[in-house]
Order: sequence, then C-alpha cells, then structure tokens
Amino acid sequence: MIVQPIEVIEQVILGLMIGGIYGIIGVGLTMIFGVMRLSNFAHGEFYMIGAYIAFTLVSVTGGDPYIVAPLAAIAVGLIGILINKLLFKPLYEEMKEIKGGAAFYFQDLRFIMLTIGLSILFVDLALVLWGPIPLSIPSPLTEVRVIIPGGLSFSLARIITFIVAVATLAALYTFLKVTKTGKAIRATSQNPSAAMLVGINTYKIYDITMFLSTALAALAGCILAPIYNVYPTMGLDVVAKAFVVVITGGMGNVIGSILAGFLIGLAENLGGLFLGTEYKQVVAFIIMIIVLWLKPEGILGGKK
Amino acid sequence: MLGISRKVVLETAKYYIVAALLLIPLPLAGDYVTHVAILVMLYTITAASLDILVGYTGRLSLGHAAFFAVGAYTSTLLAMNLGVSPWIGIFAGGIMASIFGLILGIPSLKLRGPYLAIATLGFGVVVWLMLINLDWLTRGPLGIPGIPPLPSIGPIDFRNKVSFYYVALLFTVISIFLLHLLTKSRAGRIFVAIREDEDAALSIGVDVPLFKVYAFLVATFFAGISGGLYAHYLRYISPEISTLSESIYMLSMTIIGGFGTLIGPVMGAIVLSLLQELLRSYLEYRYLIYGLLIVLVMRFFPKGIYGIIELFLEKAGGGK
Repeated sequence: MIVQPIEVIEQVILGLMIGGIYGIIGVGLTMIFGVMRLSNFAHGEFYMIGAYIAFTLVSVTGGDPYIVAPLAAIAVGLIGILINKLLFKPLYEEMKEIKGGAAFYFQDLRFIMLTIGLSILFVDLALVLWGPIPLSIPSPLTEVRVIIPGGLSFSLARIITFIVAVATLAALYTFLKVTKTGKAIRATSQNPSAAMLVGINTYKIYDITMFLSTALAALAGCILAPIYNVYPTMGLDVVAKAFVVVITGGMGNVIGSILAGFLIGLAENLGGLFLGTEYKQVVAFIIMIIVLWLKPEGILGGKK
Repeated sequence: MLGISRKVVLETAKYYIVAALLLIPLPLAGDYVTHVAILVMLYTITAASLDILVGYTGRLSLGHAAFFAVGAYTSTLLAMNLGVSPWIGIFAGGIMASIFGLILGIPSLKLRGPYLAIATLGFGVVVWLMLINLDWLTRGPLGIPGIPPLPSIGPIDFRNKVSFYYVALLFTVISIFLLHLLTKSRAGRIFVAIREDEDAALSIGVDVPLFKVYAFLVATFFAGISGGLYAHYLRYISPEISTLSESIYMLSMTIIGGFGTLIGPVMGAIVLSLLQELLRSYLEYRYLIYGLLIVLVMRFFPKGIYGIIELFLEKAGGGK
C-alpha cells in the first residue's frame, strides 16, 4: 500500500481536530480524578446526554446545534452537581471515618462500581427516552465545505468544532490559572487537607469540578453530534479512550491531558492510515501501555 | 506445604458435597430451568475466580471476560482445527487463559487502583479487537457456529441439557471448592496481606510480585475453564463474549455479591443472572433496573448481598 503525502497531511489535520475533542473529554475526567480522587466511569454518559439534550433542543426550537450547545452543557453540568450531592458527597463523608490501605482500596472499588452502575443506568435511560435508532442533528454547517490549498477539503462543521474545542481548552486553562476559584480547585487537587486548612470549602470545590467536568463532556458531545450520529452507547465508545488520554497525560494533570488528547488523535489517524483502519483503536491502547510501562506518571513526568 | 491441614480440607469438602447433592434433582424442573442453571453455574465459576483477584488480592480487573473468551476460543479452535477432544481442550483453554493472564499480570505488577483498572480494561479491548480482526483464525465478528459438543462417554450424550448440567455441576463444585481451599491456604492469607498493606507484606519477606502473578494465574485459569465449558455447551461463540460489558457484568456479580468472601460472588452470580431472566419481559427497562440496583447497593450496602445477609443474621441472632 502506497501512502500519498497528501493523505498523511489530511490524516494529521483530522487527527488534530478529533484530538481537540479528546482533549476536552479527557480534561474533565482528569480534573475529577485530580480533585476528587474519583475514577468516573460514567464520564462518557455525560457526553452522550449532552448530545441528546442538544438534539431535543434543536428539534424543539429549530436552532442550530452549535448555538444550543452551551445550554445543553449547562444542563448536564447541573445534573453533574446533583449526582455529586446525592451520591458522591455521602460517600466522602463516610470515608472520613475509615483508615488503612485496604479501606481506601474498598472505597476506590465502591466509587468505580457506583459510576459503572450510573453508566449502565444512563445508557438505558437514553434508550427508553430516545430509542435505539441513531439520530442525526442536522446543521447547515456540515454542508459547507472549506477547500484548502493542495486539494483537501473539510466541512465547516469540523473546523468550527476544532475552534470551539481549542477556545474552550484555552478558556479552561485561563480559568484555572487566573481566577480565585480556579486556584482553589488546583489547591484542592494538590493537597486536600492543606486546602481545607486555608479555608477552602472542599465540597463546594467538588461541586464546581463536577459541574465543569460534566459540562465539558456534554459540550464535546454537542459539537460532535452534527458530524457523527447520536446513539445511546456513544458514551461507552468514548470513555475508554478518555481514560487512555488521561493516563497518557498523567492522571490529574490538565495540561498533560490536553497534549495527550492531540497526541492520541494524531497517532490514531496516522495508525489507521498506515496499519489499516481496523487497527485504529489498538494504537491508542498501545500508546497507553507504553506510557504506563515507561512513564506511569504521564508524558509530562509529574509536572503540573 | 500449602499451609492447610487435612482436617480443614475434609471439613470444607463436607459443605460442597452437601451442596452438590442438593442440586442433583434440579433438572426435574424442566429444560428452561436446567439451561438457566447451567449458565448461572458457568458465571459462578467466573465470578468466584475474579474474586481471588479483586476481593482477596485487591487487584481490580475490568478485563476478565477476555480470559473467558480466550478459554472458549482455544478449546473451540483445538477441537475444530486439530481434532483435540474437548475434554482436554477445556483444560488447554484454562492454561491458555493463564498464559494471557501472565502477559497482563507481569507488566501490570506495579500498577494500582484506577491505573490497573484501565490497563486491564485496555487489555480486554485489545483481546476483543484481536478476536474480531484475526478472521483467518477466529472468523471475525461472525463468530464460530457448529462447535463440537463434549464427546459422549458410553451412553451419556452431552448434547442433552440434563447430562451437561451434571458436567457443569461437577466442574463448578470442584472449581469453587479448590478456590475455597486456596483462600484458606498460606497463599490465600498472603493474598489478603497484599490487599491490606502491600508494603507491610513486603517488609515481612513476602514475595509480593510472585503472589500477585499467582493470583492472576489462578483467576484466569478458572475463567478459561468456564469459557471452554460455555463454548461446548452453547456450541456457538463470537467476540461478543469478550466485550467490556461482559467484563463489567462479571465484576458486578463479584462486587454486588460481596467481594473477598468467595460465597458472596457465587450469590451475586445467581442473583444477577436470575434478575436478568426475570426482567426479560421488561426488555427495555432491564438495564435501568440493573444499573439502579448497582448504584443503590454500592451507595448503601458496600459489602454487597453477603453483607446484607450477615446484617440480617446478626439481627435475627439478637445482636450477640
């Protein structure tokens, strides 16, 4: 099989575009892990629900998916806060009373199983509410094709998706670096007890983190929906990859996750080109296994 | 040598003999019940084997279905391509699953918590993708139909559900008995020590990596055996048996049943399988209820069904 240079360039661009989305989903997951020490296996479901809410808003109001996306993201973020208050917070309260290595392992298991349960529940809820048939959200932007020199063309929808992804990541980074809340989030992530000592309300920080994380996942779902279809198990297809991104970037490391998102997107598309599309998915896992083996603290080596 | 006395072996054996005897008349209840019972027993072996890893050694695995599938495919391919008797093939499947267990177990020795969960999840996905893509060997996503049944012994034909039921019963009782003895042996106590405090175990001279690998070997071997039985019972397998949701199903049996108790996962396998059967008529809402159950049990009863029964017995016993 001979690969043309133009094909490589096309896959690089497509890889970076999907990498931006991986970055958004991965950042949310890594923030939850960093701040709350929680591996959220239901993360993909917030992405899925975001897409479905966007679909419903579009079919009710007739608006464009890119315009209703922030609304859907906020709605899902509120669901995230609700879940945190109902399910996670009581567990953290219980956790304060237990000590010892095994107790933490059990608590970890409990959280993982709880989020797996949530994931199963949400997938079926979507199935009951919206049906099993993949839905498509029409957007006029998918029809417009932008031709770039060299004979390549991309739909305007993909380009806007990429711009939104990069802008969101930049905004999130600024928020975490500059604002007081952002600093409190980072402080809690670095040392929860010290953060509490200086007067940070950790439960409030958990709420905010949960909101941001789920809203980001939902936003990714909304802006991808016009390009791909919306179906109940779409979150399951994404969550494994989100974890790959998070581990490659170093768990809890925001910048690492953003870089890893682009890296995985790029590697996957180039891998698909050179090895055949059926091995596209394997590439991500191989990268993760190499990272776990050689640099378990992530590609940035523990720097945050 | 194993750090287990003959007395303990005999005492434990008593319970299993009684359980086996009690289960002998079950096929009288009809073909459907027999069929469900066979599947429940196969899941029981898998859930109990997973408990050695998750419950006793404290090594979370989200890829157990992959080993079940490796066992099923090994035994099937040996029987269909090389004409190996399934009676031998089932054990070969167990050994092959253990080899895969080593491939995952050794590189993941240092990983803990979520890292291990994702590594095992990734391994499961890779096995699934291999089964789909190596179609010259596995026939890809179509799966393999027409798998030979267990060869008959004299007049006993194992295409018959009732005959197969007794094979499954024998395998299940022996597997869980062996796993039970393992948990009572020196190795079993070392597993728990690793779970409770790895560094402390290391400091008193336990070869922690060796026993972690040992736990992986045992757990994957029994998953492979169970997979082989499954293949020769249903006589059709596809890559679907190795998916993440299958692994999660097995893990939820172990955890909802009450991990680290061995008998808990057995109850988990029975309860969840029966629940699946009972909810079959509410097809759409099945997973809604199932997911909600997991959430509620994990929120309020982290010790699972076993913990609930324990609590109940304590109350019934007047809080002694």
